[in-house]
Amino acid sequence: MRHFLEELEGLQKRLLEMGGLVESAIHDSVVSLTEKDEERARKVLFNEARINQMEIEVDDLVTRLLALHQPMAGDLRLLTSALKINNDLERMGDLAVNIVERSLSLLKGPPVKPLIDIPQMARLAESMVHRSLDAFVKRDAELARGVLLSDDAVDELRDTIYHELVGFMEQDPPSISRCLDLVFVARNLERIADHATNIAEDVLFLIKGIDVRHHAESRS
Amino acid sequence: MTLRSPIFRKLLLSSFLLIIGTVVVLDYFLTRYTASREVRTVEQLLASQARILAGDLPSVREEDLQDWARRAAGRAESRITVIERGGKVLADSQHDPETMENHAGRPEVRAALEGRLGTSIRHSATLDRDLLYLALPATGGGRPPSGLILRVAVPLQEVAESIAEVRWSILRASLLAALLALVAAYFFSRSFTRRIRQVQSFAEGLVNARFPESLPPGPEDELGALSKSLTNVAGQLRDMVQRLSLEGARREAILSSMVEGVLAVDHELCVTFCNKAFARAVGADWPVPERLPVLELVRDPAFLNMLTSTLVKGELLRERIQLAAAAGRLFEVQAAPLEAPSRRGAIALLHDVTDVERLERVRSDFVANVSHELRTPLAAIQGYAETLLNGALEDSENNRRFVEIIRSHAIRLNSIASDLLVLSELESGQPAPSSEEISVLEVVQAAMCSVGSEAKVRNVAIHCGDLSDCRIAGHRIRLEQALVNLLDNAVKFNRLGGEVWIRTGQSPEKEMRIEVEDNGIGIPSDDLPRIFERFYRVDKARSRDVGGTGLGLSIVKHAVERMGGKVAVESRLGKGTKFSLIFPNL
Repeated sequence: MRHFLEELEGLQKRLLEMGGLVESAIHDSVVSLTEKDEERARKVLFNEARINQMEIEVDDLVTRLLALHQPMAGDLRLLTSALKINNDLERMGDLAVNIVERSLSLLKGPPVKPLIDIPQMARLAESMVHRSLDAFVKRDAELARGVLLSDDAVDELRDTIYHELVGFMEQDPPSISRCLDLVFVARNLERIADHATNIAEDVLFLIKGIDVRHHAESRS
Repeated sequence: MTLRSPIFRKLLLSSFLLIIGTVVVLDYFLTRYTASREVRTVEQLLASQARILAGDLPSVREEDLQDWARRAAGRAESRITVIERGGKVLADSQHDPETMENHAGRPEVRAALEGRLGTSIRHSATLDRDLLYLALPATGGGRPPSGLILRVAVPLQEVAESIAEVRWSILRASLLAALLALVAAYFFSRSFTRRIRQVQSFAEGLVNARFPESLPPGPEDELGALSKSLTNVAGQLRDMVQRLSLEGARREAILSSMVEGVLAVDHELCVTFCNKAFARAVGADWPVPERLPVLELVRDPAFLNMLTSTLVKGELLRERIQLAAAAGRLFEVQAAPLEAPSRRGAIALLHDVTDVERLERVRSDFVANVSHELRTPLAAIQGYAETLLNGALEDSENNRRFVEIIRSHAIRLNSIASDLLVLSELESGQPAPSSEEISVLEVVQAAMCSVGSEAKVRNVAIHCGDLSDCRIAGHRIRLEQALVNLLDNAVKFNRLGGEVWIRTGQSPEKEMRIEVEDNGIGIPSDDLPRIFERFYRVDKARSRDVGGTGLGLSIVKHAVERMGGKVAVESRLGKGTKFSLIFPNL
């Protein structure tokens, strides 16, 4: 029994470590864009492999724990939430890589416009990711709900950026490819924020969830 | 209470056994001795009786023996028997001698036959009691031995009775003594037990780190010495505990008051110590739970790698890390190995250098900006001068124009230089020129005059709001310069037909406020904290177009602050900006 608890602790640590890597990747990807920092961009690409590897490790660990121990109630919720969070984290890592690719492309040319809204959006998204992971660590429902509420602001910003860039593209056709890169960056940031809300939802389920057994019974 | 004490029971029981044992042994031997003494006394009595009677015996004729025996027995109050040498009983005071058997075998008779005095105690079947027999040969009176044995006998009943009496008195006396001894034993045991229990409970108190009142010293014996030693030990323990807790409290106070964050982890990367500053920096609750994995506190891979590196390689590391847990603030992190007695650990020190870094960046930006600002007009001057020297001097259409361009650039360089001087003087902290009492209204009007023409050219209207006059202490020229800069910005960063308002008045907190508000292009919220930096521009292109030096707002900030005031700004991109200068009242 103690062995199982130790394994659960290890699983949580793994997820947190992965979360840290993903947070760092997102931050670096945005900085590489705003500061035109090629080295940071390369760093994100380099670390991507580790994030993917960790996703596989976490999946394996959870599967093994489910098979060996057939946990119930709270432990079972933890394991299923872990699978989902694992997935969301890996996707966020991919999105950070996408941002970096756009950033590397943008590095080559002149700036389209002063970047004001994108850094703002990035700050919001990073905050949501950070808070969702904190909510997971502390099992804090308030914090998780706060993340869900923040999503609207991010969506709004994406629309604002989109319209502004459309305006630029209409006025200055040669800038279209660079503007499109920025539009994609904004979209990636918005999706990162969505994954953060997913994690927040998983945390809420973990804390307050329905007993999974009852669900299965009522279905059958 | 005391009865339950095992040692009390032991003491009491052993005293009890000792006393009883002594009494019993004493009684036994005393009684035996007394009994034998009694018997000996009777023996002696009988012996003297017998001797007396034996002296008479030879003169008695054989046929008178029986009568003589009876009479003598009556007088002596004992049984008298006469036995001849062969053992035949010749006379007996209580029985018919014919019926009595031969007594030669009797021990006392045998002894008498040998010429000695013989005694024996026997139980007489006929009489059913113990009798003491004493026999001796009848000699004496100078007559030849007659060969007769005289035997005297008394029942031991009386003896037994007197022995019994003696025994009873001995018993009574010893019981009394035993009782007294037991009572004494009881009290002694109780007081001794009490002293032992005092020492015991004191020692128990020490074990549980309670420091009870010191032991009463009591009598000067080994137990007393033990009490004294224990009291000493207690005193030393108490001092040591006090000293340790004082040290601990001092250490805790130091660590808690530190501005730098301190984190210590063990070999498994679990937190062994975390001070308040660290918890606050990473947004965690303090105190941190025991043995919390570091990952639950800080997730930053850079930080974790530093800790792991130090732990594994045991080397000192120093890096600047931006912590997501601290809202992106920059920290100088120092990690060092912790040589704990058992296993390795690591300690990390966090020092917030966000502001330091910003200042460094501002300084390097400033240097870059200054050289850039200076280079452009200088390049133009050099260029035009060379053009003139290369023949344009003779070009009467353009030569004058070129020189005028050179002059305007020189003027621009001059104004940059003088602005820089003003700034450096403001920042140098040199004592301000003596401050005077200023009429705010006058200064505002003067500033409006300066900016008036520019405003007309750009079609921007300046409105005066509520202009109640007040007086503040300050430097007139500086204040006017600050207001000119603000008005200038309000007009230049505006659109055609834009508006500017100036208001002065008292705030509810008894402060003097001057507000300059416009509905111009506004300032992005990102740039808002930085607009007072030297040479900082939101939109470089536009600012240079309108002929700014980039130093205007820096001058405003420093001038106002030198006069003891504050400057505040609110702005919305695309809507407008409002600057507020706040001065304490005179």
